[in-house]
Amino acid sequence: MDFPDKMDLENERVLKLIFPDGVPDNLRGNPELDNYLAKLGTCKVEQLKKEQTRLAEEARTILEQTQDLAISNYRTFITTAENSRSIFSEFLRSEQQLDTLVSKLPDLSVQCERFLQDSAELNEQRRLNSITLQKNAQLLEVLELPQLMERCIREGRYEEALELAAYATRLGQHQGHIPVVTSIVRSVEALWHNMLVQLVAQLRTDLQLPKCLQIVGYLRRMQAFGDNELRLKFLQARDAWLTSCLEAIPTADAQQHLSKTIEITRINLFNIITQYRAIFPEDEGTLKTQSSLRPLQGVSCNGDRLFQAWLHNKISDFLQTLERDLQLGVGSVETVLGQCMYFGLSFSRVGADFRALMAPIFVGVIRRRFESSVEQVDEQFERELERFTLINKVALHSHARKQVDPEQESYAPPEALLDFYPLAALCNGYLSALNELRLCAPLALATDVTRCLQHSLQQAAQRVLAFYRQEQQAFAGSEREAFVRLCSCLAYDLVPYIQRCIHGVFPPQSLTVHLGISLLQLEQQQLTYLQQTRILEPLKHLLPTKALVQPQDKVMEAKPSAGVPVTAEG
Amino acid sequence: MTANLLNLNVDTLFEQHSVSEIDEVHKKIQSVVENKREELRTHVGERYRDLLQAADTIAAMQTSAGTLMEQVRHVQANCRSLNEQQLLGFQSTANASAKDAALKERNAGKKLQTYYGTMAQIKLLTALPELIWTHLDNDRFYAATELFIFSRHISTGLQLDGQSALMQKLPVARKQWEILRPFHVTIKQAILTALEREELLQEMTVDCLQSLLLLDKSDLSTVLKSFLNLRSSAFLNCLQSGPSEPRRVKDRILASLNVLNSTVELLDKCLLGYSLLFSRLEECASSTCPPSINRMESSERQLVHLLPEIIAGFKPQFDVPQLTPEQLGSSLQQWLDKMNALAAAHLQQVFALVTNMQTIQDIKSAARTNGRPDFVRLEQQLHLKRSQLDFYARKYVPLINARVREIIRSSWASAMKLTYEQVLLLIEAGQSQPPLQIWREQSDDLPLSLAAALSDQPKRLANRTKGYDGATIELCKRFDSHLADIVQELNVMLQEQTTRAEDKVSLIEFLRETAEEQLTEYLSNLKGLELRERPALLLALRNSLALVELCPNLKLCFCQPSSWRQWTDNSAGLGIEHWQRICGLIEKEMLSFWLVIVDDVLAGHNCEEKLPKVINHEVVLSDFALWQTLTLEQRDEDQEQSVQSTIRIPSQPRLSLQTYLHQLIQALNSVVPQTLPPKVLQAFIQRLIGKLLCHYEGLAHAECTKASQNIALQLYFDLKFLERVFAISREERTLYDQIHAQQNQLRDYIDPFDFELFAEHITAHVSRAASRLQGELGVLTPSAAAPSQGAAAASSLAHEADPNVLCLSSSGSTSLWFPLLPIVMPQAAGRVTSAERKSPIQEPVEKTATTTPTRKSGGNGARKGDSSKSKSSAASFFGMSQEWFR
Repeated sequence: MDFPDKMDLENERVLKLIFPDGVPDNLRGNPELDNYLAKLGTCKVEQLKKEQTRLAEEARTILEQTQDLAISNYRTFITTAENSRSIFSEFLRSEQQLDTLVSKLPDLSVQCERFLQDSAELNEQRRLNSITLQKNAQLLEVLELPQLMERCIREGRYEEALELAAYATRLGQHQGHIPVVTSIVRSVEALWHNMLVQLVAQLRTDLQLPKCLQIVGYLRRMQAFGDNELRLKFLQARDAWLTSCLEAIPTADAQQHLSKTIEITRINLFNIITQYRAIFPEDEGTLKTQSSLRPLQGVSCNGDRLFQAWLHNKISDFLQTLERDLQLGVGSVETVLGQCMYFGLSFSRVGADFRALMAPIFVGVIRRRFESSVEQVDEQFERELERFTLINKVALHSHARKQVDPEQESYAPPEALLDFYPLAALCNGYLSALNELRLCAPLALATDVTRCLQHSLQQAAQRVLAFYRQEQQAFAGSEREAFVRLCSCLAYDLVPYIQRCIHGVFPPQSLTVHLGISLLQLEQQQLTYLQQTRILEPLKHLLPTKALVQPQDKVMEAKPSAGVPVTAEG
Repeated sequence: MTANLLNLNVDTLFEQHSVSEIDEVHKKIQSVVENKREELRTHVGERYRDLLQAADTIAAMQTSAGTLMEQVRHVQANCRSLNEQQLLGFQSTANASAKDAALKERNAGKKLQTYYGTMAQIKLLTALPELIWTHLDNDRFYAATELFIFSRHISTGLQLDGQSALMQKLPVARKQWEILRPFHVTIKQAILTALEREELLQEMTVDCLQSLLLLDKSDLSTVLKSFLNLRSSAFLNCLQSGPSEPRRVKDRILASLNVLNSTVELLDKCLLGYSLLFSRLEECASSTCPPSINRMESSERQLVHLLPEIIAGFKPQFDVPQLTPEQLGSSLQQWLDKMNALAAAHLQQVFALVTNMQTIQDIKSAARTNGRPDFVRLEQQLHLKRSQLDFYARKYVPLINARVREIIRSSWASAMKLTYEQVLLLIEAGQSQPPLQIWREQSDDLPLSLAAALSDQPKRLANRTKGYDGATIELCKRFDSHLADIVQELNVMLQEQTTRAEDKVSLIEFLRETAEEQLTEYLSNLKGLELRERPALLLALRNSLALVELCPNLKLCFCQPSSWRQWTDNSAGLGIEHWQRICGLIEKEMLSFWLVIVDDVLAGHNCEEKLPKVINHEVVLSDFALWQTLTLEQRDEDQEQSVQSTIRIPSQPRLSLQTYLHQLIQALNSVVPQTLPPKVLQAFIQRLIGKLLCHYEGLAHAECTKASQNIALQLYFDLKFLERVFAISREERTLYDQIHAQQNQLRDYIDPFDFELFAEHITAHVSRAASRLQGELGVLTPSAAAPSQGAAAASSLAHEADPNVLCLSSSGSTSLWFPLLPIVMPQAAGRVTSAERKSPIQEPVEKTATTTPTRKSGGNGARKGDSSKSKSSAASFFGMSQEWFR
């Protein structure tokens, strides 16, 4: 304890000696100072003398060492300086680059985001392409729908075409938002319309029942028409075909045109009727059900009898054609009549027996032909009578009448008429007309024919009277005698003969059977009987005297006796 | 020297110089080296120092910045404290100044105070006009009124003191009163104008009423009546549209409703019980109410210490008003009666300007939005009838409903009128139009796509089966469009939530009634035309029927759409019933049109004219078809041997009857190619059968019928045929009895034994004839025949030997030949030659005639009789005789 205190006091004393003005501040508190003082305390006097030199030496040594250190390490210092400068410049460059980096980072972010989006899009497209590649077959099938349907339609495979149309419709309903699908559906619809047009066009051709059933089945499945619409369309199309067939018949020859018309109408119309009845069966239950549901059923045209109306129109058209062709002139009315009647009878099987409607047409045509023939005969008689002369007339065939047996000459013309050419020509004209009539002689024309001949004979008598009045002044004795014989031939040979011919064409027995009356009643009614009194009225005063009348009375007596036998009804 | 030292060569140095020189050189070099070393050390040391200095500088900058911020904060704090000190200083200064001034003024002498008081009053009078105008402009009517009363008070006081010498020198007081006096009228006019406004607030109302009480010293009852009258004027002003700024009908109606409701509400809030008006009156009467001078500006209020107490403490005085609920109720009742009259006169006119449902809906929606106040409590307090104050329900809803009905009715009438005129145009244009060609194909028959085929759009091909052409379809489209608009507008009304269910039901019923009324009128107008031509009748028919069939919205007017079923679930059947009834009415009218057409067709083809009137033998020859000959075998009981007998029975109806029916059907087809409707067809058949039966009755009674059994048989056959073909059953008793009576009458003309023999076969032939003609007569027959009859007809073909129905007396196969006369010309030589030439020509003809009967008779041996053979042989023999004779 005492030693440390002594040391401190001594140190202070030494310091005062060394530093009389006080310890410098830089040395105060320095532990090195204490150590140096302690060391000085241990040194000898010689050492203290040498201490200053030694210190100077030591200072110089340190300086030299420092210089050596500097010299030896100058490279290091230079390198450090250079490194500092380079570090500074590098820091500046780094700062600049950082600024550049900071300014470009937003752009980088944007670009990165864009890259992400593009990548996502590319991935999505790739995924879609992959899916497209996987479903390539299905897509091709969908895209080729229009072509496939077109081929089915062209080849007539309507079953597949309908299925394709239904599939396309469903596709459009589910995927209608896709433009490609929309265009496909539109194409398929156009092809659907083409198929419809094609099917309806087929209805306008010559079809058999199975094919017809098939086509209408397709039309039903297409749902293009309602029930009434389908019926009307069917009738329209088939009617178009029938009309085209009829229009194709040449009209140069009326006989041929009518014959072909009958044949085509009979075959084709019958087929259409059969097809219609097979395809559209009548269903009364449906009609009754519909009537209760729909308002105004009773007063609204529903087209319920379209078929019947159409059939009636066809019959009317045929009857018009028949009448027109008959008026134009056909060679054989009998042939046409037979053909038409068979035609009508065949249509009675389908409920369209129109034979009764044809009968008046034929009766009218035959009547007009007969009347036309008789008119021509009248005109010829008038012309021949104007050129006729009684000069040098001799009785060449008068005796022939006496010799010939009356029974044998029942339908042969009297030969006495040959003495007078006009009468003979008149008789031949009548016979020609009756021969033409006999081929087809309806009973309906019995009274008309009789009336026509009655009128013609009356006119003949009138013309003979006119001839007499014109020529009587110039008559010689022989001419007067000849004229009397002319009148006698007209009255007693021609008129009775024509009456027999009428009864030959229209036998009284047939009339009595048809009318249900007796022969006596027939005679009383004067049906098919010429009124000879009226015919001979103009020539009454020119006929022979009573002696000639008496033989006629005998003949008249014979006729009633011939009518006495009455045919008993069955 | 330095340069030389640098280039010095060490080897040559020792050869050229001495040791001392070498020492000097050595010293110099050492000096240079030392300098270099010093320079190097300095350079290195400075670099590091710079770095350290930079760091220190940065730290110093940071410290400086912190110091600077701290100083800035100190500056701000100092500035804030400085401002606060300054403001406080100003306030204290102002207050001190004011107080000092007041004290100084109060210390003035008494005489001076009187003078100053007078001057202050005149000052007030001078400032009051401007102040009153300001309050009037700002709609503060009570303040203006109070100030006016205050000015009157001041002026009265000054005028009473007019005899003093001071007032003689100051005539400005009197002049100022002349300026202030007209404010009485001005303020009252402004109050009345304010009470006439559409939108009136409670505060405004109370202000006006209080002003009226103060201004005129009138009682509350009079003020109430004035108030109600002014609200009536406001109501009328709302309904009328001024020329300066035209307002829409909707706005006018809604504004008028708002006026009514707000009037009642104002009465409730302002006048009833302890309401706003009475509370404010009480406030004015209380002791704490400030004097009127407080309404003056501050510059004038500073003079209050100079004023006499009677002026400074002036307040308006009110008598305490008393208004019993009975009085209020009676006044309100009178007002309601007046408003009823006004609404009946004017409101309906405004509603008549509404043109569409959207406006109606907007009105109702706006009324809903504004709210309908509940006045039930008020009605109870005032002892009024129930729902008396519900103006919307009592006044506006009936008018709205009436207007809705009017809109529906006018729209329907317009659509129906337009359609009727269009139908008239079509009828006029249709007179010359050719009939429809339904059998010829059109280009637009085929639908373009499956969607078009399946859609509900009317198809042209289907319409052609009904006879509807393009013009008819276009007409129906336009009419349906009109009806769609009506239904759509009604749908707008029904979808609205504010309308009551009863009103909706009544609207739906009104739509149905309107539709029924308009259609009935349309049918009456159409009937009134008395159309007689067939094309006109058909056009009227088709267009009217198409309205029902092609206009779906027409049915919606009767049978409600599904969206309306929630309102009419109980009366949906009623709508259907009405629809069926109107359809029945249309059906009845259209049936009458059809009957006119039918009668016209039958008149054009009258059986009395077409069929022969009398059946004589000539008619029998031309009219009766070929009968069928049957061979019967019956056993004779006595001799036990079979006996053959031949009978003839009719196989077809008369030719004239068939021709008549054919022509009739042809006429019908030309008129109505689509065939007659079922009910019309039934009527047609009844008329036709009636006419035919009259005709046959005449024939049956004719004398010639009795003469021949064949005629009776044929007529009997005809009647049986008609009965079967037209399916005359017991349901049609008149026709059934008539036809059977005639049949029985004809049977009397037939031998009973023969009839018993013929009956079975006649029935069979009637069936066969009916089946053969059912297709041809199908247009007229009531129902289609069964397919089995077709098979029967087919099988009957085998039994038919001769297809010809025409009764021929002779034909090519059976007829005889009339030989012609061999004509000889009068000239001897030439004639003989001609005769010889003709003879060879005739010979082949004779040979043909001879040969033909033989060939044909071979094919029909059964029909050839002995007489034919003998005649043919005679003809042949006679021909040979002629040749032999010549």
